[in-house]
Parts: sequence; C-alpha cells; structure tokens
Amino acid sequence: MVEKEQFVSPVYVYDGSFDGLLCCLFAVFEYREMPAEVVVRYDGFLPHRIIVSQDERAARVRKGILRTMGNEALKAGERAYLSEREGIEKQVLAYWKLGFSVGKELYRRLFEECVSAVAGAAKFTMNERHRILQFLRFSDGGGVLTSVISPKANILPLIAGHFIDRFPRERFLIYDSARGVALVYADGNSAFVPLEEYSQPAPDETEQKYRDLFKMFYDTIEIKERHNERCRMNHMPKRFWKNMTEFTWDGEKKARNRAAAVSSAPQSDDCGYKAEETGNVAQTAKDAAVARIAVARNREK
Amino acid sequence: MVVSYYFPFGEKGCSRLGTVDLLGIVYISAFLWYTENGMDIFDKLKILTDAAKYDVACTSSGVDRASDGNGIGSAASCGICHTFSADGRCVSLLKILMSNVCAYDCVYCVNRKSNDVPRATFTPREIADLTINFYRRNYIEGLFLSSAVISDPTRTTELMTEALRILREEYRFYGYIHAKAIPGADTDALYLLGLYADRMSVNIELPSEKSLNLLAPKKTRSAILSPMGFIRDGIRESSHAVAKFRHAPKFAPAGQSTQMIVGASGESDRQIMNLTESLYDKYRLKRVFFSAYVPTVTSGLLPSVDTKPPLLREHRLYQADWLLRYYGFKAGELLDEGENFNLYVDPKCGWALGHLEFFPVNVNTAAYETLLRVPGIGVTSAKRIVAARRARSLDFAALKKMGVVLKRAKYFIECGERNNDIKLTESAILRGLLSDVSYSRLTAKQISFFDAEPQAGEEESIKALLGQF
Repeated sequence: MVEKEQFVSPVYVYDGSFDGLLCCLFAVFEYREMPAEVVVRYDGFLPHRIIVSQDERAARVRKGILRTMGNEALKAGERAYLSEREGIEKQVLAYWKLGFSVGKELYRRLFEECVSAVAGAAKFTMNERHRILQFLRFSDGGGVLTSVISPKANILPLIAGHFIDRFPRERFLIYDSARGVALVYADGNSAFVPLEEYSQPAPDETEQKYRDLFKMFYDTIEIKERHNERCRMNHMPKRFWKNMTEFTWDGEKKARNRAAAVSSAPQSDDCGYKAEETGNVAQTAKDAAVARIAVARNREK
Repeated sequence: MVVSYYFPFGEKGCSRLGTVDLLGIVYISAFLWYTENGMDIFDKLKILTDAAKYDVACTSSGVDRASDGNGIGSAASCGICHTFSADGRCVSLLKILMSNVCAYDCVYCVNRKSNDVPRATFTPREIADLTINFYRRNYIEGLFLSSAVISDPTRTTELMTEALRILREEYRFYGYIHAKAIPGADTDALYLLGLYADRMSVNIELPSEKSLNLLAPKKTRSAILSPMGFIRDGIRESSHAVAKFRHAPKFAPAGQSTQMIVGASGESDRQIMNLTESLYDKYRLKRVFFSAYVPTVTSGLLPSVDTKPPLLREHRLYQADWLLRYYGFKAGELLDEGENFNLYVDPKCGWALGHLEFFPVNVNTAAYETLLRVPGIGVTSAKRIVAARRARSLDFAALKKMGVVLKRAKYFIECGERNNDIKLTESAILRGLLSDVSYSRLTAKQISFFDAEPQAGEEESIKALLGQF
C-alpha cells in the first residue's frame, strides 16, 4: 500500500471485473490521484494500490455516473472496457472523471484524448459485435444449436440479448474459444459458463444436408463476371472464415472421403470446426472474464 | 384503393390471410408438384439461385421488430449481412426465384421463354422450410422471393403469398421478407402479398420507356408504374391505420425499392439520376438499385457479349444516389443535360470542383447542410463537428482527434484562419487527390477536368488506379 501524499502516481491493480473498474474510479476520487496504469496483475517496482471490488462502492459510482452524465456514458465506458484494448481502463477512468466535472457536455468534448479513445474502443467493440451477429453460424446437433466464435473483443454479453430475442424457443450454446466461456440458453434461462474446451458434435444427416445446401447457395449466388476478392475480404475478414459453414465445407468433404476410403482406420472427427484449443488460458484471466460477464448479465436484467 | 384495411386478422396481427383463392393455390401446387417431381431440392436451389442472382437488392434494413416469444426471428433496423459472395456483394437474404418457368420473352433476361436453360419451380412449403432451416443456423436474415411469370402474374403472386403465409402463420416467422411484385398482377393479390412482406419491389428494369419497348416488349411503363403506385398508396394508408389502431395490419413496413439495369441501353447518367430522383419523390421509394449490365445473351439489340460490366459507372451512380438521399443534393446540380459522371473523381468532389466559389467552408460557423457538401465530410463527421464546436472552437488538430478524415476535406475547409499551404484551385486539388499515374492520364488528354470523358474499356484501368470499391 502507498501513502496518500506522494509524487509518483501509483499503478492500480484490480480484479478485472467491471465493478472493479467502477471501484477504481471511487479510489481516484478518494485519494485525489490519477493512476499511472490500471492492470489486473502487476509485477513491477512502481508503487501500486490494490483495488478491492466492493458492491456498495460500485453501486455508488454507477449511480453517480447515471446522475451526472447519463446512461450513455456508462454504456460507452462499459463497451470500451469490453474491447480489452491495452490501457483502455485508464482512459475510461479519465473519461468518467471528466464527466463528473463537465456533466453532459462530455458528449461534445470529442476532441479530448480520453473521449476519443473511449469512443474509438466502444466503436471497436460494437463493430466486433456486429461482425459476430453477421458471421456466427449455428449447427443443429440433436435439437441444440451450437456455435464457436473467437472475437477480438469480449462481446458475448453484448450478443446474448440478440439471439435470445431471435430464438426464444430454441436451445443454444455459443462458445467463445478465445476466452473459454460459453453462453447457454434453454427454456427462457440463460447463463455464462466457463468451459476449458468445447468441440461441436459431428453433424447428422439433416445438418449436413443444410450445410451442403447453403454452401451450394453461396457458391451459386456469385456473379462470376464481377469477381472481386479484395472487396469480399474487406467486408468479411479471413479470421472469421474458420468458423463459417460456407468455408469449412470443403474440409469436411475431404475428411468424409478419407474416412470412407480408410474404413479400417478409426473414424476421424469430421466436424469441420473443432473448437480451438484454449489450453494455456490462465485460470485467473478466465475467472476474471467470467466475473465480468456475470456482472454484465446482472445489469441486463 | 379498393381494399379496406378492416382486414380479417388473427391473434397478434399475424394471421391475415382470408380471401386468397385457396383452391386455386392447391390446384397449382399440385400441378407444380406433379411436373417438378423427381427433381431434388439441391437441383432446384441451384437453378433458382442462379436465376435470381442478378437481382440486386439484398438489404434487410428498415424494420425493427422483436419476436413475440413464441415464434422465431426478429428484424434489426440496421440490417445484417450474413456473408459476402466472392464478388463482394452482401448476402443477407435467401435470394431465390419461386420459379424460372417464364411466360415472357424479354431480350436481356436469362429466364426468357426462348432461352434454353434448366427450369425448376419450388413449392411454397419447400421455400418456407428452406428459409426456416437456414434462418435458425444464422445463415440468413430472411427471404427474398421473386419469380418468373408462371402462366399469369396473379397466379404467380398467389403462390408467393402462400409461401409467405406458411412462414408467417405456421412457423410464426418474424424475420425479414422481401417480395417482388409481379407487374400485371391483380391488386387484391398484390395487397395480400404486401401484408406478409416487409419490403416490396417492382423492377423498373430499364431507365427509359424507349429501351423498355425495345428490350422488354411485354413489359410496359404503365404496367411497371401502376403496381409501384399501388404499393405506395398501400404503405401510406397502412401507416395511417397503424397510427390509429395498434393492431392494424402493416403493409410492407420497410417500404419499397426498385432496380434498373445500367449499360444495356444508351441513357446518360443525367437521365438515370433524373429518373431516380422522381422515383424517390413521386413513389416514395426507400431505395433505387443500379445493376451494371452483365452480358449473358447475344442479341443485335444489346452490347456485345464480351463487354465488361460497367462497374465503376455503377459505383458512381450509387455515390450520387447517396447524395440525393442523405446529402440534400438535386439531380440537376450534379450533372448537366446528357452528361455522365466523371470516372476519375466521385460525384461530390466533382460538384465541389465545379463550385469552388462555395469554398472554403468554415467548420466553426457553417450550417450542417453546408458541411455536408464538403468532400470527405459525411453525415457522421458533420454531426460530430456540429456537436463538438458547441464546446469550443475547432482547429485541424481537434478535427483529426475527432476522427474527421482530412485527406480530401482539407482542401475545402478552414478553421477560422486560412490554411495557407493549400491552394484552392482545380488543378492543385486534383493533383493532391489523384495518384500520379491517374493525374497524368487525366491531364494528357484534356485541358480542364470538365472535358474528361474516359473511353470505353479504359474503365478497368481506372478502377485499378483508384483502388477497389
């Protein structure tokens, strides 16, 4: 712990949750200082302050933000935080701190460093969210829709509402392989479950039929005279392709043929997109992600 | 309008079909089932996707609707593109024809009666099942249903309506549906179709009546415009009714659109822009789409088969279309009579170069509408400027931080003090905006920018110069 009066501003170490970030803001006002950095784990030599999440403090800060600058600033801050960009926590704190002094004029101060940083990060998160809404693909395995995604931002809490609203009578599972968390929904209840590893079941006959139909539709809808690879990649970056039905089909077909040819060999898993190995995801980071998601969920309610 | 809006509708405004000639549908379905039997769903989807791919509209925007918790689907007002085909076009909807068995013989069309192509017809239920199964896998945002004219337009419309009815009533589907109105169909049949669809469209096909008479002898201008007018009136009445009664049936709530082929006939861009503008004004369209003519047919009336589709021209027309819809421009401002858009610079920049007396614009004092006319400043940037300058006066550094792109805008704006490094002359601006190669090409041929008239065939190389679009 550091003393109250000093020249070097301390590094804040928090638990990685959104409530934890709100508590950091509480500390900013409590100690009248701006942290040099806000991090989840710190091994350096600079003085640091460990911020412990407290529900009561987080609630006070949240209420304060809503009162002085409105819901939009809270949302922008949360979205920026979900972007998981390097050093964004500090910008979010600066953004809210500025909001406490200027109130709603915050929205006009687009030329301030922290405002443009938060707006940029929030936009990044929302773009990533939209991309997942576009390119996520479900597979039907025994009446449960399953999907694997690996977004750059932590957008799972932001897409839950969209899919629950869209498929109220389905049961589905969306696995974020980059963070090792799955969104599970069934019969009106949803939950975020930490999962070390997940791979989708092999497709049954009906599922395979619709995959093949869609792949064929996708290939047919192109106007060959207008072929434009660059334009396609601009709109749909290649990092999404590995989880998309229309691009995994060839691999599956090859796997199926191979399995048929070598019938004595053990049946290979021809499911196409096996969930990515998460392997070395540190337990702490994962717990933090789960905690963040749970918090976001509670707020959605 | 002959149809009242006291239409029989069931619970939650979903069940609306009451008066369609069901017997007729059963009869036709049975007939089609009989003739098409033996062809499996793969073959049908392949044939009918291939036949539908030249339809441009694939947007899913314009309605925001949540499901009732009992059915499936929702619609997002921004629209969602679920994939992009290898030509870079958005695929948002399952875009298919109901049938490509056509009674008409339009010269430019692949589905014309005299063309020797494989034919197929979906049953309404096949369409509904396919849509639902694609939809729940998140492949698509909804259905785009068009059709060739099977025997007569009204019957075709009724078959399409039946597919939509199964989706909306049996599956309780709340996703997006775009239905093509078949010109010449009975207005009652058309009205029913519109009650199930979100967006309707009638293709105007070609930009003038003369071309239409020449290339699509069975389609007349009035046969195309009258359903368009009918849909406009239906949308207007429905929006009035919805204002009065919450559960009044909604007729094509996402509005109507149309498309025309560019490059198959000799109209100038000015003519096309005039037509576009009047379609927005008179028919209250949501969108006008342009489709670069892709030669598929050999005919003395059409450009030869090895003509490249005029993609850059199409791109310029879309840019100009945005100027009409969001930027407050009029067609007459952008082009003179008989003129085409310059392929080297975009229409807004072209307009600015012709109106240098309008510039520079002061970002701290100019009205929002004036800011919108600055090349490089769009709706987002203009709104940001208007909001931010209330907090303090803006300079170039502030603009940069706000995310306003200055590459083009810097020639046309000032922030209180003039930026002396930048000269406001036509050649200086062009020099700054175009690449070296592009600029030398432009200047080698002409004295002034406004004489530029790239030759046919040159277009592809310009496309390469300007980068992809």
